[in-house]
Amino acid sequence: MSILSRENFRIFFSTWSGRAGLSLLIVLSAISIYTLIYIPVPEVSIHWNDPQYWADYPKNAPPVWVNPFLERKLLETQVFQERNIEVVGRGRVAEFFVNYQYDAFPTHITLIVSDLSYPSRAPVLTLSVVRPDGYSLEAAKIPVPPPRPDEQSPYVRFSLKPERVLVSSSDELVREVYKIYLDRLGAQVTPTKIMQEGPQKYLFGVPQDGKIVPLKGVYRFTLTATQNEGRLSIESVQIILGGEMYGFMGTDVIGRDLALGLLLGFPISLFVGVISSVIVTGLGAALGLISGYFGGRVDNIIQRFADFINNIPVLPLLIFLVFSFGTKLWIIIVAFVAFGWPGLTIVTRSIVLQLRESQYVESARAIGASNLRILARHIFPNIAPFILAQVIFLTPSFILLEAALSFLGLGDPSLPTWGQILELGFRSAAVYLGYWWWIIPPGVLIIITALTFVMISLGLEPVINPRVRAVGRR
Amino acid sequence: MGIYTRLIVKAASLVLVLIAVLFFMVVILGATGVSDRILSSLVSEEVRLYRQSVAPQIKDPAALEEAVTKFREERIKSYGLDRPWHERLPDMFLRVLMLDLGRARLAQTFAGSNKISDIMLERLPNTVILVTTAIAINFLIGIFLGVRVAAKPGTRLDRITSFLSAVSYAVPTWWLGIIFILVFAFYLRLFPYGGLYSAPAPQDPLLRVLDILWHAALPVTVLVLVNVGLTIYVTRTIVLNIAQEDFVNVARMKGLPEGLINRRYIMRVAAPPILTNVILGLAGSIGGAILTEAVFSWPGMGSLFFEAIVQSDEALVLSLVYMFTIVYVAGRFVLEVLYVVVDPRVRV
Repeated sequence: MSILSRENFRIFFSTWSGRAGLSLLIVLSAISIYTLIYIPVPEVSIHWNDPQYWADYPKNAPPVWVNPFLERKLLETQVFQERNIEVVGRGRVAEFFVNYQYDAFPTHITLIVSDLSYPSRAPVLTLSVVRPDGYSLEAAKIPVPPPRPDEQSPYVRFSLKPERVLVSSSDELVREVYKIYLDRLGAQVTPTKIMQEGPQKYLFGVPQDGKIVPLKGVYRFTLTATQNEGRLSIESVQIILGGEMYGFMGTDVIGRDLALGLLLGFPISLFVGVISSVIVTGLGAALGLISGYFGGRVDNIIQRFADFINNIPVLPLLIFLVFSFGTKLWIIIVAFVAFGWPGLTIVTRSIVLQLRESQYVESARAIGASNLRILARHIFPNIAPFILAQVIFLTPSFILLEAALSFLGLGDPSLPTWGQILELGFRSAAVYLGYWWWIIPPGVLIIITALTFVMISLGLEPVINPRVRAVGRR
Repeated sequence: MGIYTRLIVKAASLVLVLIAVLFFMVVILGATGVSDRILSSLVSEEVRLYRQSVAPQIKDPAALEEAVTKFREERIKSYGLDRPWHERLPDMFLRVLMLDLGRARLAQTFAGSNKISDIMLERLPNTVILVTTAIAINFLIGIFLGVRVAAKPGTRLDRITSFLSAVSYAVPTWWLGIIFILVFAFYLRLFPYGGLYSAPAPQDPLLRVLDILWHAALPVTVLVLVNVGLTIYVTRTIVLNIAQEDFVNVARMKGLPEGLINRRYIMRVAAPPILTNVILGLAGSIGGAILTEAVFSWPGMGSLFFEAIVQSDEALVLSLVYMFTIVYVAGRFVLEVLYVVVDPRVRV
């Protein structure tokens, strides 16, 4: 009877753990495939460890969906962008309306201009803001570098490296804010104090009872080109309001979007688990077959090796291997294989020893079948279901081991994994600061992934081992 | 085979395992060039000390430089750094065996010594205490509950424990530890974040013991919680199989009291396989302890692993692997002795 028979599927689906495990596996695979298709994994892996790339993201920010539960609404990081802008002569380049309904101030304001080209005279870009109370002020000025003597029109600027202006620390903003507070709002502040507390606080605030409180309403940010002649084109203008919350899963200490890291963890975790398990099972079963079928000296050597590896504490030696050979993903997998095969070899051997003495093997040998044929046609089909079950049974242990190694600082640094997210979280004291969004999701995902295979394994038990069926149905 | 022969054979094979592991480590260290780095740092440490000691006597800078260079070459020769790594194997082997691996980069003992052997001796008892306590509690609870569950196979309780043991297999010990810290230390403030003592540690001996227990509560609970599910499940399976044997049925039919059947007919037979299971679980418990210690900054060898890897302190990692193998081998031996006590068949 084939392992893939309809009867076996029926038995598998009659267990709830089989159904649950298989559904989970489908969900996990779907997320992995989505990640591999829609997220450029190699590119993101490079950005992942580059603090510069995450400079504009808030650090240690909780996910945005927490806000409805908070009494004091925190600001979500907001990114406003306009692309492919063309302006003739002087005038408005881009305009953003910010509906500000929060009880906190932005941590910073950044303006990013990329890929600008102008035909003749170098323009100056000016960012101005109109507050809900009608006061307007100039927040920043970007002088675009003038043409060099040997350069031809059109002059391209900010193309290799986008121009990044930290508006919230520009002297202009401090000066303008000071002017408004002094002249219009009648508040006693000094430029030094504004600089210290950040002018963005004053930009988005009004004085009330000696304190600055957020001024809610619509703010208009306008970027205009002054001193421009001819057609000015800009690829993208971005304004980032730095908040204290970010995205669906929050950020870590570097400002990395944890949702992205967690998504990338899916394919990596499944890959490490399944590949290690397949290789370990393949090797273990092959050695067990050889050992059990041929016996003699080969059997002896293989069994002594298996006994030896079975008798050593695996984790310290795994740590040692990965530590001395380097933290590469393939080295981690090789180390898993090196320590993983013996258990299966010993069990396979004992099964094969019984099969070898069976009558049909004996009769096959009597009519002159070769060893290879006997192994392939008569012995292997008998242990195939068991081997398949082993692949699934062993997978979670490798997923967990990889996570454990990552947590100890031995993960492959070129790939973000759940274990590594947890490692950084632990090392940068996220636990002691209560950053739960950084600590809980990776662990839960590790558990769900491991549990998926445990449950499929439970569902397979009555298929592989008919004696369990009676108990399972009771 | 008599008891003693059996124990001697066991001891010999365990020592063989230790030697084989050591040999394996030394070969890898040599082949990857790590042993070169460990020895070079030993040499530069000695050269530094030498320079300090001779500097007051030799006033001429050129002569001092010459003497230091000469000393360095001499040391390089004596460590065998001028020879290929495979010729140095026996020497390196003995060096690891005696933990003569110099000084740790940053790690120190409480008193401030950074000699690796001192650090190991200070940390070893803490790890042993944690692991043994956790294993003991795990098996007390596991066997007690396993037997209870086995008495009612197929019931809701039975199915719940089977499922929970499957779930607990999928939970990483260290993550559970982190969650415990988050919940019980950060939010509820019931237990300390980690460590062995409060700072400052109480002087009164009784208070001191209580203080250690208070600090050990979370790590031990985590280690037990993660492993106990499997223990219950395995105990249940073993006991269940034996309870269906003919001799148990005969005892029942004879009308023997249930307590007597449990003690003499079932547990007596179940003890050796259960103990075998303890032996098989030892390696896993040690692995779990490494990570749990790291999470709770329990000052044992496991948390030292966590530090040594970040500091890429090769000599320290090597010594830790060696020490953990010794702990494992010693633990195995103790359990083998217990096995002889429990299983009368090996005593004939």
